[in-house]
Amino acid sequence: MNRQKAQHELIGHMKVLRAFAISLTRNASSADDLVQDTVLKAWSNLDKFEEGTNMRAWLFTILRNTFYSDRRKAKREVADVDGALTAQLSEKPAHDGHLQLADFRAALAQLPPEQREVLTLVGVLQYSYEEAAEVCGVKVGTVKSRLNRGREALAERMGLVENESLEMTDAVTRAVVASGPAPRN
Amino acid sequence: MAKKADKMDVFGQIDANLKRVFEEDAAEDLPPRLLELLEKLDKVEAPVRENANEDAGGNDPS
Repeated sequence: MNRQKAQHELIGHMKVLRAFAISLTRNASSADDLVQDTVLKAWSNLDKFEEGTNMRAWLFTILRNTFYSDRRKAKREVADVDGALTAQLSEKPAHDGHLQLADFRAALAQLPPEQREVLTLVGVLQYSYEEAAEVCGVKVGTVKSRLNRGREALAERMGLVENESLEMTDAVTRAVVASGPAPRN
Repeated sequence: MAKKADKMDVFGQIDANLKRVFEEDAAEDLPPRLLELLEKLDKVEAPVRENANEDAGGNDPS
């Protein structure tokens, strides 16, 4: 692939790539390190990229492989890397009017990165299960399972789990709708 | 069926929040060091680490 064209395309993916990195690291500085490593790896392996295929998916694959590779190394060096990451959860301050989203960010940060990446790929970027499975190097069933577990956990932490009164209301509403319009006299 | 419908609604809310978080992050300006890297990319002598090829070529995180 022409390197100038590749450079231009790569620049176009940078902000989304960085947002994906933040979704994995939950830390802007670590995300920037990760993006930098990813760009350098992509650039030095550009001959492996097939022109006409999805560069963003290729970059995502490099980024998440680098993330897990670094994470394994860090775990060998620091026993409680997850604890350290957990301590950084409230990085984004809860500005006025953004309290709910800040809570959501905090809940999201508590999920395992394997669930966060699938939530991002499928829930946000609308990747198919097959595409997400390819990026993550796992089976389609694993993607579905991680997606479901991630959504369930977030729903529970945000207090969005369905309650009985809501179901009752829905049942009553459905019964009224099903019965059709009241006969006119 | 009712439970399933409610669940889909809840998951819809979850996905909407995920999108808001992601869009907020993606809207941030790139930090100077990444901008600099991109500008000078064609001149960068990329240091290839031992596992660089694996990370760039394969999908297996293990």
